[in-house]
Amino acid sequence: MDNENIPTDQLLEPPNTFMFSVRECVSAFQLNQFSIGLKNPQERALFLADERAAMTAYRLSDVQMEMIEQRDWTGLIAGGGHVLAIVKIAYSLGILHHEVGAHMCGMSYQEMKAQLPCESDLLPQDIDSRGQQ
Amino acid sequence: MGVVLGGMGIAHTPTMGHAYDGREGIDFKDRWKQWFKGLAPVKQWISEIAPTHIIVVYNDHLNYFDFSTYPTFAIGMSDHFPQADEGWGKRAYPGMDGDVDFSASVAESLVANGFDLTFCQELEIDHGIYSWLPCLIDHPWPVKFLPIAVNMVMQPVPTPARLLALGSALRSSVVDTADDSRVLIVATGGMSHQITGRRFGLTNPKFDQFFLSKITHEWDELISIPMSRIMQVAGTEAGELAMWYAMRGALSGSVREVYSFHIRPEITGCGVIAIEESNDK
Repeated sequence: MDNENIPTDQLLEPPNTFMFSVRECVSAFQLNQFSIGLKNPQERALFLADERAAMTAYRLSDVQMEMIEQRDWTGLIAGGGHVLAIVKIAYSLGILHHEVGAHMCGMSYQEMKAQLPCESDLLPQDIDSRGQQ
Repeated sequence: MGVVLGGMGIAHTPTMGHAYDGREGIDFKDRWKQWFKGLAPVKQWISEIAPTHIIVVYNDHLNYFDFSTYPTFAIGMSDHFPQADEGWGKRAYPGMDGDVDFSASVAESLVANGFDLTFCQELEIDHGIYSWLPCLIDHPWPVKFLPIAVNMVMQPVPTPARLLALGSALRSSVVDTADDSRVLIVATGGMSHQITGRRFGLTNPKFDQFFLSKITHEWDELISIPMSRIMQVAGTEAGELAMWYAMRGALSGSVREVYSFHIRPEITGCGVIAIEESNDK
């Protein structure tokens, strides 16, 4: 790795990587459907007018609603939110995908941007199935 | 009887489209300009081979499909595919026209060959296609599109071998069509990038170049690599590169690489390759 701030861990496990499978789809179904619904301008307007009402309509849990109110993007994704769904909440609020990414990296967007490009130079044949070099 | 003219693989990202439109607030503009300049020979090539139809194997990003029903393979079956609103409004481009007779013929052939796709009448197309399309073909697009959407958002996703087989079946389906369609097969996805976790922003230009160098003539070496291994070194969203195997599977052994180009503008490795069938000259 060229950049010491990029985790060298290649295991594809939290908090470095959040995989999304049918299991998360089932466990966080309402959260993701709520988020995806925000691509619709009417649902965006409803959410911006009254966040609680919009979230309650989708039967989100108290924990999920609190994380959305706190803009805890990492918590939402760790809790089964699909990143492509969760960013639609951010877009509705005028927040960029990159800012959601910076939150997962534990830094501000400006700090993250200053570190780009982030780069690995490993080829598939350089690691074993455990992700070790 | 139709003919496959060639194939193209290309990366897609929402930012590519916004940068092309000159939207405010886009960083790394100079590197995006280099990418668009690097696409010019591909635009020229597509214009020269003049396809009547473009089959695009791509993935939706929760902009048309949602989790209530998520098809592993879906095929667009209408004469018009509108642009999807991804949450920031539509860009100033028209929808894409389809050819229902062509789509139906391809679908019949695919099902006969073991690919039972979901038929979509109202498919809306997101940046998976729209981010690069205006860079490569001037609108109104003088060609009919057949989009095939592949699940790349929820594990388990189709295997490399399955996507290669889809490509092979696509080739047969083109040959089986009744008209004289001249078809370009496009696959879009990747290249190196990751958009979750502390590895957000990870790219791997060395891997991207490796992939581009192998896909035309040594693709069998790529197919043998587990996608999980590619995701480990090049980021989880590099898994979308599996769709490029469908493009390669639709081509014969008698092909030549016309052109390839790669740059990493910001958080996604952007690569393109144009491969032409030599027996169609």
